[in-house]
Amino acid sequence: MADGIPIEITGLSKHFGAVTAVDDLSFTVEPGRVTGFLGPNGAGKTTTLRVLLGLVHASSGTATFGGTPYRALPRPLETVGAALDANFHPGRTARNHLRVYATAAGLPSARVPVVLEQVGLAEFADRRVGGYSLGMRQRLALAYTLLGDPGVFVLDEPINGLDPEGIRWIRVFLQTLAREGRTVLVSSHLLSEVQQSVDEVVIISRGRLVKRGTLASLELDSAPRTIVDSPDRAALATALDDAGLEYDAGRSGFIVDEPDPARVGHAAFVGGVELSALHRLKSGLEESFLSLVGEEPGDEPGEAPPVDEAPSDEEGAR
Amino acid sequence: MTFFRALGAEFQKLLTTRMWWLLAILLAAYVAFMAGGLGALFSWLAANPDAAAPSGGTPLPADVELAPLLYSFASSIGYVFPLLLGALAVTSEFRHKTLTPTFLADPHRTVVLSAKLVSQFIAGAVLGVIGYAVSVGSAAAALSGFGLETGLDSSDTWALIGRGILAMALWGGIGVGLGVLVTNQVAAVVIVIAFTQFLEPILRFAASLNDVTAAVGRYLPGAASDALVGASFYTVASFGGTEALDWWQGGLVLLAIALATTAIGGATTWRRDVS
Repeated sequence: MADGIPIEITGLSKHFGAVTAVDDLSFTVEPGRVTGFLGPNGAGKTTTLRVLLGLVHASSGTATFGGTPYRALPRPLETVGAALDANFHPGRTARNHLRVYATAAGLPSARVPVVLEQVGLAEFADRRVGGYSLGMRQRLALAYTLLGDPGVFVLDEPINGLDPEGIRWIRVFLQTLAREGRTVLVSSHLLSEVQQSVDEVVIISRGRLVKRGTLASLELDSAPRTIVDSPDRAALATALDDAGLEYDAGRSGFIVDEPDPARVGHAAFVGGVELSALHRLKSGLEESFLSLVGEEPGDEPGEAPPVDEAPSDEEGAR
Repeated sequence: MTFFRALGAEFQKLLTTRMWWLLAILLAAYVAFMAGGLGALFSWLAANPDAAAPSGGTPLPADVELAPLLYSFASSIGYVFPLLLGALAVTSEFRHKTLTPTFLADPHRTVVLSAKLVSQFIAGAVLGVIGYAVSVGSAAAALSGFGLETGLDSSDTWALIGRGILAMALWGGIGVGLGVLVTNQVAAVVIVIAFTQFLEPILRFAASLNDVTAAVGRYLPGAASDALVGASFYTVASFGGTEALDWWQGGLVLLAIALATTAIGGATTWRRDVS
């Protein structure tokens, strides 16, 4: 196994015509832990990773593996394993797909059955990839990253399209890699998707860094809040206003800036409003994430309530 | 070292999908039909000139040697197959987005493209061997069936076969050049079919009507290819009296087209961002 090397992104910008996809981005990813690279769709995650891997030219700034750009790595697949999208030639089998790139990278073809076994594709290895499910494609993309037994892993949305069993599997997979001292960078547009897998987070929005730290530090950022809902939301809104409580409209009710559900319940009681839900928001992570990336539904208070875009996105993605 | 790894990977890419043998089968069937079928017809005409005359058929020019004409069908009509295979080798990388794993495994893009070019020269030569095996086999059978000369005891015939295989190899390289210039697979296939089947035959005919344009028309790739091989049904149906290029000039024209298109594509589309 190769050693884990830090990923270093310094002052990185990428413009596509008039559009700025990545804007003066700097961060470091250390070995020995799983780092989540988070941000909404279109935040610039994939562009950043493609620049890092030498597939897209940076407009300015650098992205290196311990100081060496990808294109200058003497043995790239033995240094970095990258899975960017699960695209393959549909007429080629998984085994042949991996053999082609083992040859190209000068790796022994004996690695191919080993990595197929590792990702659980051994029994489908001689089937054409055109018949694979999205989950199987994701596993094949991971098999490719393992070919050179590298010290650094760069995975773009690897959980997308996996079934629950696959998600459990990849959590263990990522943690195992990190515990072996490798550098693991995993992107996702959903914090909830990776929050059980990652130790650190790098959050970007509109191409800019908005947060960098441990997962725990993100949790601390968000004060606990209360969720409350009523069959009569208008009346509930009035009652909360009367009690002087700040709140945002969410999909499953109002998110009130008040850690104590009892005070929210009291306000509803005073206003004579029937409640259908009242509980403390257990983890403020997702809300903290959404407010960081500027996608909080409460950005425009007073708008029609039942729109909480991010969670419905989440359902669409699964 | 890294070039030979890339070359090995390109051959594996070629041999692990069905396209190459699909095109090889089509080539063999097409050539067998043309060389064998027309071989039988012409042989019959040549052997029974009296029976042929009342049917209104135009008699063949007396000085035409039938054997090389029939054999050269392998490249004079078959060149579209290495051209397609070469173009698909590049465009399928764009279409199926496999440039990502390709450039991750070997970030030296020029090396990858050079390996593609060389692999398609070789693949084109293999298609040439298949095409000539079929054209010589079927046409010689037809000729000898009517008691005509097969020319297989002549070194000229074998030199023609060798030049024909070289032409097929060069067409494979031109396919790579076309594919890297026109990366859209559908567009590349349409261009190959439209150019080889309609546009170039018309251009060659139109160019031959005037001595000045005929001098330019000799450099059209299909004309250069026929010049390289040294025989073609085009030369029989010869329009105008302009001399074709020498065989080596024809070969250099094809090689120049292959290298120039690949180099231009390599400096443009091949260097672009892969997303």
